[in-house]
Amino acid sequence: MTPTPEGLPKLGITLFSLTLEMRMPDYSLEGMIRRVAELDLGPGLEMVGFQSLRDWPRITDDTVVGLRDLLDECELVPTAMSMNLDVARRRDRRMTEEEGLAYLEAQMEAAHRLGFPIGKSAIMATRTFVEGLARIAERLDMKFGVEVHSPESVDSPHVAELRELFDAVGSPALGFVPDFSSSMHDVPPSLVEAHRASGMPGELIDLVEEVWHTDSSMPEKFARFREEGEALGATPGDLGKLNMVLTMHGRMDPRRWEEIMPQVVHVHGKFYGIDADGNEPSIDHETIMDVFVQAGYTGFISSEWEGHAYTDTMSGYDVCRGQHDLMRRLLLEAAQRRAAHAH
Amino acid sequence: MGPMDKDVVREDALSATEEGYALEIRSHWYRSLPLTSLAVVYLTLDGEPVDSSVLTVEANGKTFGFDELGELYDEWWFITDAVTLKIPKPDAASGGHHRVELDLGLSIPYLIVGPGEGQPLLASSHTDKSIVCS
Repeated sequence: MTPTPEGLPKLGITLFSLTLEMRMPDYSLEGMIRRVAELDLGPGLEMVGFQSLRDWPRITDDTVVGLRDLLDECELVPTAMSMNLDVARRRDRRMTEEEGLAYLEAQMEAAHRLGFPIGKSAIMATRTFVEGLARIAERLDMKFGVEVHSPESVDSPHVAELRELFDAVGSPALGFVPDFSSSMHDVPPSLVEAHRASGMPGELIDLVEEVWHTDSSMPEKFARFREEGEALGATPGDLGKLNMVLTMHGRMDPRRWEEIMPQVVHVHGKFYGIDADGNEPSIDHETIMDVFVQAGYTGFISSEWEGHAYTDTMSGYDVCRGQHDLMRRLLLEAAQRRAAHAH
Repeated sequence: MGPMDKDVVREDALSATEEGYALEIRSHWYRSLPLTSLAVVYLTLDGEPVDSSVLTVEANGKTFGFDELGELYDEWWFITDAVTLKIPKPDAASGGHHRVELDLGLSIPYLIVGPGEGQPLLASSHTDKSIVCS
């Protein structure tokens, strides 16, 4: 593995980027991890427990030993384990707080056995839940992060509530995981292309893009898109599909990640494609890398390609390789600026 | 329009048994889900709707009635596994093309949407293809 220089953020991948590759007939977790190493997509390796591991979180000792040995052999480092809080797992009622904590505790313990130092999941936003989570993470000497993902931003109501709770509980084990989806400057061209290819009327795609670029609130955007979309003949199905454009991609100024940097435990480098010039056309990676370098962040950024949700025209391995090249170059440039500024 | 939708019913998914047809389905969600998530199965075979309450469901080497799924929150559908729907039909025969129309609705237990207490997101996938029965 080729690490980034000391004092800079480290790079890695989440296997979630390879969701479609997991459906290939010749897929095996071991083969996938070896390919990640061959393509130098580490050193950080993140996975989704419920995606990559059968019987998660009730994993066997053989699984633990096998995965630890494999990562060592491949010179990969376990970073964050993505977990889920399946509050509606039962049909008759929601999970209680106590059940929710036990559900995450089992996943934190499994992640700990595998050598992952960080767990991440959505959580219940109550004082008692956050305190319970802090106790679990501290007992295991791990960190726990909550993702800040579109449509959330650093100060959206849910995140603001969590920031207050984290401040009140004051545990160094708790923090956030910024996801680039919150801070985009455009709708991904690969998504627009996929909608066009699926037969979505062009004027509806143009409309949702126009609405996306406005400064109004999310409910106002939904309302305007519905009203003007229906006037153009949009079906409820069309509206449902294109509403996802408004929710999955946020327009926060990427500089605003600065506000939570002291509490950042891990990063999701969400992206949707790399263009012919090696850039991500909808996410300002240059500014984001600059923010992380200036803040002195030295944790991991996982390449997280989500284009697989709508296209199978790209290889997850190849696009992540492209994003790694982009991020590495921008991190080194940001480090030069930081050094020049210091002198 | 997701690529995973294409994979819900594969070309070799349908076979005939003595009791009827067996249809292998694959999840269009990226992670394992409990069988309680298998909420909606609107299946039409050669234009004839199949009442989901007559289906039996094979998963992890076990067999369940469709109406039993509501209790199976600790039985997991792993991403690389198929779940088999058994459709009772005494005259089922192999060979020949059959049109399979399927609306599959997966209740996503960690994504709660809508006002108030909300509801788990229902992730739907639509299949309409003609495949050969083995």
